[in-house]
Amino acid sequence: MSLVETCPAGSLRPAGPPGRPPVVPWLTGTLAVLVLGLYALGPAVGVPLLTEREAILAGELWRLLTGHLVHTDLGHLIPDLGVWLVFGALYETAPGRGRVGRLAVTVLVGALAVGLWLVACEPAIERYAGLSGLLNTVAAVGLIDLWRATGRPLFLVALISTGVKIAAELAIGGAVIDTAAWPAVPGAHLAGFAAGLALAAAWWKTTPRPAGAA
Amino acid sequence: MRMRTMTMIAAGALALGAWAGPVAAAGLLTPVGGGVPPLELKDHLVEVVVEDGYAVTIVEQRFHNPHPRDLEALYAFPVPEAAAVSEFTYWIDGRPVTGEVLPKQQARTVYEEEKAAGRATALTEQDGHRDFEIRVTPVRAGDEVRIRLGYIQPARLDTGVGRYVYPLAEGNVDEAANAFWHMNDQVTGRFRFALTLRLAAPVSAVRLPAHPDAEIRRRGDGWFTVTLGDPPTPNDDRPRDHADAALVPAALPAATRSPAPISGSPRRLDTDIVVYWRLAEGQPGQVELVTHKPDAEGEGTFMLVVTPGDDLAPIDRGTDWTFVLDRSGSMRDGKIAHLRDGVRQALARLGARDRVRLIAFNNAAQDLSGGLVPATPAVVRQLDALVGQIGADGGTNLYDGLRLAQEGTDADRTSAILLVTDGVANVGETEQRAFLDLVRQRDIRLFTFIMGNGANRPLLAALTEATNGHAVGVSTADDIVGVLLGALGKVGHQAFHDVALALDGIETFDVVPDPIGSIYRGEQLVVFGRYRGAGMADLTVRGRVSGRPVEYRTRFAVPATATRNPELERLWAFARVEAAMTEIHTFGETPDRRAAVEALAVAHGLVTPYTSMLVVEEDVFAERGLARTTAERVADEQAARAARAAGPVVAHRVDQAAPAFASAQPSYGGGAGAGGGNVGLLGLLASAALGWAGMRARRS
Repeated sequence: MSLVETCPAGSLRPAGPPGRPPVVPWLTGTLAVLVLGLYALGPAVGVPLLTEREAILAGELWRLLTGHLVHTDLGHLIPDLGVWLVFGALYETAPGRGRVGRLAVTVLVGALAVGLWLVACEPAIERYAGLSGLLNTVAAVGLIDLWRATGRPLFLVALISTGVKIAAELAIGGAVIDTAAWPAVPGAHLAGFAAGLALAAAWWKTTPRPAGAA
Repeated sequence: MRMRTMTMIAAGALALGAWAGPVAAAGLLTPVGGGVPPLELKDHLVEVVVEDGYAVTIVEQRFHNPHPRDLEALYAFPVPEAAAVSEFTYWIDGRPVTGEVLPKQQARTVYEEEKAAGRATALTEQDGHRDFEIRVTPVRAGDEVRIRLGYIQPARLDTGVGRYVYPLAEGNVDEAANAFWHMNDQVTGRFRFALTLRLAAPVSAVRLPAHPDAEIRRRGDGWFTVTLGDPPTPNDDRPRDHADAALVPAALPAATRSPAPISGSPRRLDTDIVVYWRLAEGQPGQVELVTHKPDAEGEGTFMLVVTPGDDLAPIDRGTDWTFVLDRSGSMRDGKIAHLRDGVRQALARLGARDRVRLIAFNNAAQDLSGGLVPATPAVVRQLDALVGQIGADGGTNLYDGLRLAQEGTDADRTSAILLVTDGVANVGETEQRAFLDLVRQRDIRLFTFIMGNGANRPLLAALTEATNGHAVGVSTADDIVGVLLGALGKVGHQAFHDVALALDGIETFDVVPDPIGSIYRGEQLVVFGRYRGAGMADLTVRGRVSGRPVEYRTRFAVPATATRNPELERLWAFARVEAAMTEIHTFGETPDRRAAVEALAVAHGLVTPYTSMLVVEEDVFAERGLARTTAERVADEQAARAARAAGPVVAHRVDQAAPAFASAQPSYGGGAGAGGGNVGLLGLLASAALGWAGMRARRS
């Protein structure tokens, strides 16, 4: 008996029943280790990775993605990393095919959406760091996924609450409760959230439904 | 005999005037109605170099006596902020003789003895916080005398903007002195002000708000020259960096403004010269170290400048602003107009969540707004009209103004008192100790705008420090908008409090300031100290921001020897003197405290309220057994200045390899914002709850 089987797309995945999630959320863990490692290495390592407007416009495009991995202080790192571990692991370990791939796409699309928003729409923000804009993408995709998978209205309410929170942040021009040294950027949260809603809409038909749902 | 009699009369008149003290402005003084004819202020030539974190100012003057008898010259000028007078030279028989610092009474005695003996002598004294006085004798009939004075002061940046003030304006703070003295502030010969800026960081703009006729030339990214007045002549002693055009890269643009025409009319020394320079946007938060250590085995001196990154978040929950405005007679003329302009512009910038209160004081304090009121557009319009009507008269009951400001404050809201005053408390309570007791009664930050020259800076600085607030000097030649933006930016953002600094790896001692206190947005932390040893040092800057601890670290090398900046020893000593003087103002003068200041000032050649700089003929120094330590120090510093001027601009940043700050320095440009993706603890808790709910829902 072969330990691996070929999936339709031609890639390899662990043997087992179709749709069974991986036991270990390795993508979530890898990203968390990366974020922790960058923080532990100190601010000097993070400086060339920040989402820095002028540098991006000068061609340092990697900063669109890498700035999300850099955090300024523990008050910034701990909440962001905690939320990532919860939503990342929940999504990655959920039943269904291609969860790792979808999470990776979610992260990439969210990171790009936030980065491009900052460059295009936030000229006063010269540099940006942190996962939270991207976490709004993951949260939107994850909450819609949970709502669709379980049918529980709690997750729809949580999704709407996230939108309301972002609207409140936009209204007051900052975070409702701020724990980081750098001020929050509500526009980045909005861009991330909108990207998440767009992804969820694109994946609507392929999102699992609760048993018995029409 | 007649000449001697007249000199005696002049000296007697001057002595009579001593009770009144001088006036806080620049010029030659003669007693009003004293029968002493005025001297001419012939030349007034100022050279300033701002480099390596401090400014060196050299003022050369010639006094002319057009009268048929010998006279004594008395020249007074305001004490520049944090300035240590470090050089005083008097040309005797055409040869420059550099002064020596002695205890004040000893210097005065020697001066009087030399004057009585008819020998050439000169003296520079400090009169409290207000003036430096220069006495020169004899100014021979129909002849002139030449003197040179030098002082050094730290050149700090605030929110990316540097500021240098050459104080000249009338302080109006002492009515008795104003009534006694006639001040001749007209320069009949040449007047020139030249400032050279040599910074490692790129400078985007240089500005003199009150002197649009200044010529500003850009010679490099951080290298500018500013000139005002008459052009130099070949006979002038001038630093090489002004003359050496060959050092200027050819590709750089020419003058940004055409040279001003040479004025044929006398120039008055009645307006401060304020020079601003703004760094280019996006300069990194950084740590700079300047050292002086001539002997590898000996002790060295360091100046550590920490410019934090823009890590302080705005406070957007609304602030209670209490403006406490001095409308006493000493605020008349330019100062009261500047006050009105500044407060009106500040009112226009308040947010809808803010509350505001206006208190004005002269002989007594008065609440103009009727307590704290919401800063709605209608209220702001009403208050604006009230401010426009504020006039200046009466005495200065500063204590009553601060007492009233502390009443009715709300402990649950961010509160700030903005005190705008020239700080000469002369009605009601005037003891510094009582003021300190008052401001410590409530936890409210005091932000002080010290208006004009002659202000009681020691008192205002002590009050501000006691409340962890911030003090800023304001000249009538300042851009009031810029001053306000800086202050509002500080109150409107979080601040670093309880800041402490540790430098491990080398032995440091006699560090000032100690304790450090608070650092507001845009402020630099400048620390002076002494050290032994050399090698790698670990710097840790700790503090608290909104109650949570923050820490910045870096590692850099401390050199075993350094001789580029000998002035550091005097800057360090002056910082120690200032700290000691604060203690004296607060707790009173004791023989020990006075002796400590005297010893430090004499050892380092500094003019203080307790020490003066004396020039006598060269052989008289030897006859009187006066050591020439200050002269040697001045010679070392002059040689170092010449070497610096001939060499390239040097960067002192030491944390490039391990940056202490991730973000850029704050600036006024609006483009230096930094943002953090931050979901907050609330987001974390909500996510944890949702995660738990999601897991349960899946299992069921």
